[in-house]
Amino acid sequence: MTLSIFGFQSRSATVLLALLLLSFQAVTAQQGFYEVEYEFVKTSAQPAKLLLDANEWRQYVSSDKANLLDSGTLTSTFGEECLNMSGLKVPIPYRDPRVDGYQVQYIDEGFKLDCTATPHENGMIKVVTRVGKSSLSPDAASAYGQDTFLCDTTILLRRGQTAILTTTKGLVTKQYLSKVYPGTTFGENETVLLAITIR
Amino acid sequence: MKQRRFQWMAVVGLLITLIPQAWAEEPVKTAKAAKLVPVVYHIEMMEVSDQTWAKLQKSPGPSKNKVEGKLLQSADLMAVTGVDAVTLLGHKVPITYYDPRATQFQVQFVDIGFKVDVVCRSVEANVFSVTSRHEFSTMTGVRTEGEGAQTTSYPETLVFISATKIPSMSIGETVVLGKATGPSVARQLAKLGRPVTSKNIIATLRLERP
Repeated sequence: MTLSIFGFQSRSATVLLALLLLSFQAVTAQQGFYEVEYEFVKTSAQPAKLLLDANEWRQYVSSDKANLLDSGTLTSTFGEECLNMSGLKVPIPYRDPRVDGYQVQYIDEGFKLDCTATPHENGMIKVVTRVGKSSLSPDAASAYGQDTFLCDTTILLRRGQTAILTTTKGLVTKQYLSKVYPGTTFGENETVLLAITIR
Repeated sequence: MKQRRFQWMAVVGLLITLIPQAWAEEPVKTAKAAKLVPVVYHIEMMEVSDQTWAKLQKSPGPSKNKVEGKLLQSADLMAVTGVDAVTLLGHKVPITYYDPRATQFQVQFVDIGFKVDVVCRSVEANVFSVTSRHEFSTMTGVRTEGEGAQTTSYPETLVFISATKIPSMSIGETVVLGKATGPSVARQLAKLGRPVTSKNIIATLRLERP
């Protein structure tokens, strides 16, 4: 059997086919897709390192040491800002004297992440991210007050790695996280981790 | 001859189709700016004895020694050099206000709780300058402005803030950012259900590798 493309036979056809495949590979590589996963975990024994292999992290999360509170996944393209939110858009009405009436501004409540990933040197990926979890908690100062746990940072990661962006433990954790996650109790010696994995 | 011409036309056609496709997406640029070094900020707020505080005062500045005390709150924050990193655990109170520059109303948030805003820059290998703002606050009351439907409420807070710059600090070193003593911080801790046995509440920062 002989290979034939556009009338080219055997060797020429093979070269042409290789060229075709390379061109398609170049196009798909430049798309630079990635998947990012965020997880909030409650634990009484946090990992020794804050930068782990994703499989190592997966084992930790599925062990009895960790209690997964929340997670979210997003697929995007390098260089593009992406957003994932699940929760409420809460309207805040305010009086605008210019129109002699009420206007509305919206605030977000729930799980929200903003992320921009770009390739860095030596196969690393630079991730600029803001991720948070909030829960409406009206108080004397505002009917729209929110209890929140958020982190705004920039890190370097490789595909297949997990980074624990932030951890929190202590009195303030106990006080506020039980409001952010109603129905879950938090002890003073328990740590809450916010981790991100890039695939 | 006709077949050969067809073959070359096909190849040229193929190249004309594929080359623009390959460049259609703007090539992803690799950041070549200042070298980014990953770091972890470990922040602690703790209660220390008078003896420990006296010892810390004898050698101010970054040290490899661990500070012994009763931990009240701690946080880790991973980041890279040269970029601000923030973590907040607490309460956010939205306040609407009119911004004359934008000629529209905006929502501004007042943050209450445990907040760390930190950035560091490489001075030399494994040595960094750190600018840090650590805040621990609790709401004590509310102030109101305006009347009727135009009333706006503003939270009144008790704060313990340590905003400082450490010019030179190495990985593994700990520095005391600030200390608070007196009824104000005792009241703050009492609001979190912790009776204060010592008056020395300190905030520390340690630099670590991820």
